[in-house]
Amino acid sequence: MKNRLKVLRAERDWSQAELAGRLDVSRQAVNAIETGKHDPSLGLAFKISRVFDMPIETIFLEEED
Amino acid sequence: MDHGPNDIRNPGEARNRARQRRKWAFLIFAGLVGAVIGALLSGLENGEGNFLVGQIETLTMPAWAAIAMAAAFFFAFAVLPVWGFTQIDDYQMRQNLIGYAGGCIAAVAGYPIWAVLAMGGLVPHPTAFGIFVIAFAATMLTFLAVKLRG
Repeated sequence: MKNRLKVLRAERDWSQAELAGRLDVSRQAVNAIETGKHDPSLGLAFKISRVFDMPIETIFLEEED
Repeated sequence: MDHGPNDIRNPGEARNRARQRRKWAFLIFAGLVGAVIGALLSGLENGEGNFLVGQIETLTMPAWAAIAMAAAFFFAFAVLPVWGFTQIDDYQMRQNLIGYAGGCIAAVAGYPIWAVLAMGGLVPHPTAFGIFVIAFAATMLTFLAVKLRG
């Protein structure tokens, strides 16, 4: 699954640590999600959606086959 | 204009630092628990042999001490890790569970492999301590491999 986390974070001038703190996860988790190595749980996806105040489907994008 | 980690407009960074402090406190506490168990064990065991290399046949300890040490090991190897799972995020949980799966697979596959090699006279017969070492080492190695892969 692709996501726009890095772009949205940069638009707000947030570091990975800043976003991690807002999401109450480790900085490593944010990095893993941004680099596509880890898909967040549904609960964390909703939390990301709330933090950026955007619908989930505009943050996470299904990859084409 | 300060946008550094101490800036009040960066509440996430402050929370992230607090999370890091909690992680180090947990690791230091776990290390202290290990040190206390090691000290107690060396003070309570009698006889000849070495617990750390599995020579326990000739080692003894009073029944009350054995029960206390069993409880301490249960705390260190079961209660502490399970409680630790409640303090981490789902990414770290995944890494930890993969590590434990590596240890479990190594023990389940390791015993029959070791047993048939022993039947063939190639290695000594399996021991409970040997299986523990295989499981523990595989858990650590798998966890490290997952961590390094990112």
